[in-house]
Amino acid sequence: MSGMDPNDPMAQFKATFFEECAELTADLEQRLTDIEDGDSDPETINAVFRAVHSIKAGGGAFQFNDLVNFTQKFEAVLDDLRSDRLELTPDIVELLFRATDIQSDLIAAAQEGEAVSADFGADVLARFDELLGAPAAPPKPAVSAASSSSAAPASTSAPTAAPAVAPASAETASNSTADDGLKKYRIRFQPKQELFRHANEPLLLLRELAGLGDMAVEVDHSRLPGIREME
Amino acid sequence: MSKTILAVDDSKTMRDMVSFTLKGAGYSVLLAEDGVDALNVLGGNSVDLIITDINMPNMNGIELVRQVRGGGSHRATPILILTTESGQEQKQAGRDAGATGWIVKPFVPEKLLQVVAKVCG
Repeated sequence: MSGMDPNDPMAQFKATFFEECAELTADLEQRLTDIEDGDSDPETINAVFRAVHSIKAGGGAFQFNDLVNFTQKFEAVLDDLRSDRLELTPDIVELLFRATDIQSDLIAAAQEGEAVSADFGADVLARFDELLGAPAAPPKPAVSAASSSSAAPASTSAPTAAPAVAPASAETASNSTADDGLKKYRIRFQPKQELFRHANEPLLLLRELAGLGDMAVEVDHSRLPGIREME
Repeated sequence: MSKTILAVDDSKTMRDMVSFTLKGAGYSVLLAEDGVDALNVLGGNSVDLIITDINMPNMNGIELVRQVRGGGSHRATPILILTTESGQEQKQAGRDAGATGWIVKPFVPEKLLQVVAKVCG
């Protein structure tokens, strides 16, 4: 039974998205089979990247956050593969097949409006983190498979799902209790330079943190290059 | 007469959503599935604005911007890049190619329309 709400103003677009997901997944599986059979044409891995990228983009538009969280890392690994930052070994191809299966399950869960378990796909995500050089993500506290938001095409101009953990070379926290009984935490976050290349956005982490209580941010921009150097 | 906008994206979902948003605001919309398709559409139509994705088969959005800026009747037409990409390298590539602006997906319809109104005049 479908989890689609007929009163959802986005229903027609979601229906198109799920049809497109089915086509993209079939194409993705065929391309991976071709790679497994020895196809080394760079366009093949590019096409795999584009398929996952399109699924991520559509998932973001409808706030299917579990799907977006997963495809964000899947896409980052594929980006490293197509840019030759990672080697396409048989083990990696096997991982891509497993990731495609998990992605299919997440698409199905989004379509049905069902929740997935907190550790769903955790082993593949942990392997992605290893490949991307990021620390393994802690289990999520709560999970919903799909948001059935009936808002406009999207509610934010930034990716809707924050990465579980952004690449950081140091992340420490200390806490104390203030006079008013509220707990105070001091968190030091030092992202690595490749943070953005891996599709992570530190502002999303800060936004999530800000939702937990009062927050003051102090920026150490001593290593920030000058404007001229950036351009 | 309403302005005509060409929306280029390999995802039908995205083409439908962008088209729905623009048509709802009174714009005429033409659609293309990739850069090559877009150049064909531009060859036979007069367009006031191009909105393009980056990651597409056959010809990506950055190359499309280069091709349009390279000559022809649309060389001065505003081009907005609408993409999930937000890295500085990609943005710089878009600027270097000649893109007018950059909007990150998922887009907020009102913001998209604001930007479109601004660049369409």
